[in-house]
Amino acid sequence: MLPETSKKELISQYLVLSMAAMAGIKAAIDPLDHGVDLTLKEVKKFIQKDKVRYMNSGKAIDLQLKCTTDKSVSIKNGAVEFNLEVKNFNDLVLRQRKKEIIPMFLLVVILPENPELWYESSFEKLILSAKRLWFRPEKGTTLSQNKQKVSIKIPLEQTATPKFFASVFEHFLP
Amino acid sequence: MYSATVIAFLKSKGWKPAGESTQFYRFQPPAQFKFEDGFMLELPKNENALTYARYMSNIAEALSELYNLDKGKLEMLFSKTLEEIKSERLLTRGMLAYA
Repeated sequence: MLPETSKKELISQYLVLSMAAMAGIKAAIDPLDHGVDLTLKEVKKFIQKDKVRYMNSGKAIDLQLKCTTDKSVSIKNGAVEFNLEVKNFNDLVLRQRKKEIIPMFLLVVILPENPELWYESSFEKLILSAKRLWFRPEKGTTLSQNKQKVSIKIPLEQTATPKFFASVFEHFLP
Repeated sequence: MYSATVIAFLKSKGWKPAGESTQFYRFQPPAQFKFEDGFMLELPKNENALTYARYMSNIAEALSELYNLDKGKLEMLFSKTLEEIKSERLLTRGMLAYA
């Protein structure tokens, strides 16, 4: 039986993979990690000798994934407050710098406290109850000197949907 | 990997320089590839960026898919400067003359 943390990690990974697939972009789990959980890759369609082909454009966006439950976050004034490890926060800040060419954002997946409520399934549907919010530090944010965690506030409007993933390259690329 | 080497490869395959932004050199694909929405391949200017190597690896992957070439071999080629490629060519040409 998988531990709860592994279950959460896998569920959040597959949630991103399915939203990216809906949006028509490639998402790959990074097996080596290095602070990157998934990489999104832009795919371009082209025609060569009357045949339709696809290739990666070379452009990519990295994603840090955190999966937690309702109890570990608070929702106040239209934003979710989440405590992020300093290292993870500073990684996001470094990638926000002007010279960087592969941006990175954080995706926080929030599941109900009770695992029995995570999925609802029937013959026709499989419904995952998950809030999912994206976050990127504002431009000019400096590295945190905190020792352990940084409290971040993510507006509820920053809910990640397949529509968000469809425009992610226009949104984040320099 | 070196942007200058990748640029030489692209030019040899008919890609045309098509301007630049603050961070990238842009290249227009040759007419044999008809891309959707005016796609341009972008090569980074700053070789010191933290993510430069990964970006270039993605470019090698893209070009290997496009030209049906081995990604590893292409990465090895792009990891040499043009000077290194020239001197290797001279060396192998000299060797082959006596093979």
